[in-house]
Amino acid sequence: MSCPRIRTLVCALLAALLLVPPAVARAQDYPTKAIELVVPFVPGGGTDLIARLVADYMGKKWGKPMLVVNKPGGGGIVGARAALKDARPDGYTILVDIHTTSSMHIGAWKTPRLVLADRTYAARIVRDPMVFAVKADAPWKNFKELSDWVKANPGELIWSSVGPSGPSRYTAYDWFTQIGVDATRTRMVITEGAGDSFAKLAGGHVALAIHSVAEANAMLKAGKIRLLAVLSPTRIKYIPDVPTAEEQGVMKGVRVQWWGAIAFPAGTPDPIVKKWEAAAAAMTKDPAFLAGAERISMNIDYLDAERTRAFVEQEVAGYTDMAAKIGIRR
Amino acid sequence: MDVLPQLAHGFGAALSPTNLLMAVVGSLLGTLVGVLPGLGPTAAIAILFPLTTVLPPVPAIIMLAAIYYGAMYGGSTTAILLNIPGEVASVPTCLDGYPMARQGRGGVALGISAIGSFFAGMLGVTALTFFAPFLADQALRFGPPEYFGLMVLAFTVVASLSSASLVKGFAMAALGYFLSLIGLGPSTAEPRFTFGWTPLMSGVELIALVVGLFALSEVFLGLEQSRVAIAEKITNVFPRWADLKEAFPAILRGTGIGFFLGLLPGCAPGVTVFMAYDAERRIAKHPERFGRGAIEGVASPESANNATSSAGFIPLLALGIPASAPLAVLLGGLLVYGLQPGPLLFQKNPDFVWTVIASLYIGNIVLLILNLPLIGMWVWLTRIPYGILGPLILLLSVLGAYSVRNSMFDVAVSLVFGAIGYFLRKYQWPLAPLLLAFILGPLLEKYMIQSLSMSGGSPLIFFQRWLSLVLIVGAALLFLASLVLVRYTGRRVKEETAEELAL
Repeated sequence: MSCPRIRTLVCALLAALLLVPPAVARAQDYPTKAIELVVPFVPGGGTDLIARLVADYMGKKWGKPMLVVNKPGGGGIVGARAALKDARPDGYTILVDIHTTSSMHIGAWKTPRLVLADRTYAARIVRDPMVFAVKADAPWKNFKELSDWVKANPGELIWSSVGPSGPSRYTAYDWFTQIGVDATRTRMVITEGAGDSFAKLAGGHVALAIHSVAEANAMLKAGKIRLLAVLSPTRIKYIPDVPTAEEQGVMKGVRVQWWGAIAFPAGTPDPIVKKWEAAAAAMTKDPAFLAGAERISMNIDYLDAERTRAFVEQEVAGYTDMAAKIGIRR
Repeated sequence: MDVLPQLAHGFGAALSPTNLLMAVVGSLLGTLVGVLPGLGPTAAIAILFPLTTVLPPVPAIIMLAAIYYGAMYGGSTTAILLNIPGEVASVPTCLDGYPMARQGRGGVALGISAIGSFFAGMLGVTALTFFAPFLADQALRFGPPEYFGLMVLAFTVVASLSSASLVKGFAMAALGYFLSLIGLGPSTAEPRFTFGWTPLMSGVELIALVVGLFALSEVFLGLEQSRVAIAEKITNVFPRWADLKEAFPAILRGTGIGFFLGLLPGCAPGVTVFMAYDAERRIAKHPERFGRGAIEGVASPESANNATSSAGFIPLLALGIPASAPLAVLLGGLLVYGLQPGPLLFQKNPDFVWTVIASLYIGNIVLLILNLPLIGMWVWLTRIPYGILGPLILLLSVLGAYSVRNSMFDVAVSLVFGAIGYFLRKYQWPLAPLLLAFILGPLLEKYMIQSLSMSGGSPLIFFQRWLSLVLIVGAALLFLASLVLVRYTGRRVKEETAEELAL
């Protein structure tokens, strides 16, 4: 059938004509229209909140609307694919890329649905470390005590994670390995998300929950939980009294954390990515932006484009290794 | 705690002209969006959220809460008048609301729905005012085994939603459960029935399913029958005293069921409305009236819907746990304004908390005042010739299916289920059990796996904890009772009408 083929060809030519000229030449004027910030998760979560903060700030700065578009599903992969694979690489579609949609996904799958080469990073803006939380009236005073108790009674530890291959699971695995506990002897309860998990912790149905600082904030302020350790090279300013796991001599290094970066589809004109990199560097120093981040307890931690890529590459190696050892790499 | 002076102070702030205006605008906008098929409270809040960010925190949250209430009321309106639930929580309302509308009592159904919602909302907010932190703590006692028991209990509803034939009902429930399996498994994240196809990984979207099964199939049926909307003239818009007397106990029961179950995070209106409807039917003297325009069948689930939504504010404000999707969006709104829910919120931002609580009262009143006179306008909607209304619904439905997660795939899903729903309804296979199983199936699975993880694989955990034991035994008894009831109802219906009834 020649007819449809000709039509396709004509369409492709027309599309090509429309596509080619403006993208490269006009980086100077960028942005000339609304920019879409794709959040591959539901509204109200951490990724969504940080996206709205950025959209609000940059929208005002550049005087062009920034639309946060939520495309949840498939653990974030559906939305991430829509932003990186289906959208035009013209700088007007941005993915708020996090560990779940990048390093963790790539590490857990032998044939990932998205690879690092699919995106170009402009900057990492958030690094939200993991914390070990217990019920407010739990018997353990510090992380060392908890670790010793788990070593003695691994079968009695009931802990909650989010999904079978989420950050909680990897953090716990790293911890169990370092203190010499067989992870399979502990009891893992898979929950829907941090809110669900903390409700189970506060109700005494599980003994330990591992989530990020921002996620723990509500229950912490409500006085329902206590934090025994934060998994970070240094303490975090929102929880200055919580010592790091390394300080307490229990764990070394940080292999898992929550982070968020600005990512473009591969092939986006370099000047536009550079413009965002510079803008993100300035934004993460602006007190007005930092005040907004503090309200949602998001730990702002800027990395430039090159270092973001190196950081994610290192994470991919870490997750690939851990996923294989846990036995969840497929 | 000096609740009353603080509340009075809150009223003072909430009654300021600006804030009052926000409540009115929010209710109107919410109702407007809620009336569109497929656009429920979650979508309404998510769509209108950016609009509110230009406002200072207090009026913004007042407006969001008003949008939430308004959207729920809007959903009931289309459920009653057009047999199209805007969201899952309105499905039981269709069962008796639409028959009422066809009998020319649509106005009464809308009135009862508004009054029931108002009453339940007020009661819910009162409880929120006085017991929020205390009740929130109680809710935490529900662990996975207790939720499992609750879901088993909810599943017995399938039996009484299948009055035409138990076999048909359970077949539809099985189909619903199967559909819910598609996508990533809740605890293994293992793809199930996706055939390696990425769009299927995220499963069948609930709203796309509802829009397809109910809204689109309704349009197809309507076009086929070249229906003249609702032919009967709607004369009495306001409920009569006798209607109120009949509906009032049902409103009370619906409020009770909706409120106490609504305190539990994870028990969304989609679950409690079915349980309220079912309870009403079980205790009715003439259960055969249900599905044919029983006023209690509208009053009870509508009250339960609002009671659940109001109760959801308790774990939200006191602990920061959102009980349902729209509340999760609302939580995001609170966080953006730097208002971290929790007991500290009551101490650190008392002005804000009490203003919001006061505005919840006001929102309920505004909604009642706005909606009773507006019933006439909604009813007018049904007089639009079907040739115009049908395509319009079709367009809005597709828009609704798309907007949930901005996905064309969901539009395709809704079209497919529109076709399936058309045939199912034509041959009288009940849709309600399908939807119920679709919602409850994954929850049942999740709570079972969580419980078994806690016990290290031993199913004894369900019987060792007294609360879950009570729930499971109760479920078994209820199931047997409803089998008897369904037989009886089926016989009565046949005696009276010599025809089979389909929900």
